[in-house]
Amino acid sequence: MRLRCVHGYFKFDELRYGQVSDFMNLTGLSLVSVGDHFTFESLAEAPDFSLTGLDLLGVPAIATFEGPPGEVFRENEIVYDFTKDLVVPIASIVRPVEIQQAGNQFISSGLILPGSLTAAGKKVTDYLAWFSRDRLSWSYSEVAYV
Amino acid sequence: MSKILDATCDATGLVTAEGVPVSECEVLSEGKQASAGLMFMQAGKARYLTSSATDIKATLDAVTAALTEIATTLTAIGAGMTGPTTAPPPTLPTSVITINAKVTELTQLMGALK
Repeated sequence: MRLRCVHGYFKFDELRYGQVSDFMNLTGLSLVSVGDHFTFESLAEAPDFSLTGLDLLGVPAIATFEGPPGEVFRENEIVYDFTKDLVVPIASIVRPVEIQQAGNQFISSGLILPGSLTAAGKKVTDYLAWFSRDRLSWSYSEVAYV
Repeated sequence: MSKILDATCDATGLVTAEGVPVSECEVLSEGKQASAGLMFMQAGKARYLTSSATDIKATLDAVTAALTEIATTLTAIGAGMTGPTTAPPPTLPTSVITINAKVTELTQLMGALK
């Protein structure tokens, strides 16, 4: 299964039948279908716009903006913290993350929390990850920072 | 992609949508009188538009009333000119007041378009 973290919004793509149910059974995390992808249950109602001051998934929006949820997240500097099941300001994420290159991919311990800080002090904002059912692990083919 | 939301605009040109003021919203109409309309959003831009139908109707009503008054007055004046006297009709002062009131009404409307 492929996972795209877009500025802290999560898009899961089922590349083979049964991957989503396998993932939910193995991790205990619930995913729901939204449009052409799956996402975490708490992000199912992620809006395609924000108005400054209006509640945005529990956080007051800081930008007036229209666009896909990932871009709305970027403009409002928020990410989904799947460890707390909350949408939070990216600035509040201070968890360190270690990402190592291994051949043509990157590896990290578990699923990267968007906003995590690398050793260089950069925050992870986006990544393309692949879930291995056999190893119950994630590998990454793209990682972006700010 | 774009988003369209119901919105209102107050007489200062401040747009409100979803219960919050949207100070960065550009008002495409005049915005000098409270109105209800639509806010269009695309990326970081927000624009407000209201229906100008009520403004147009009020304008046409006032213009029609003024022209009708003028026509009535001229008809009365014309009727008075067919005889031996050219004295204006007794309704003339009232007609002039009515026409001037319509001019005032239109001037005010011009300064308070939605």
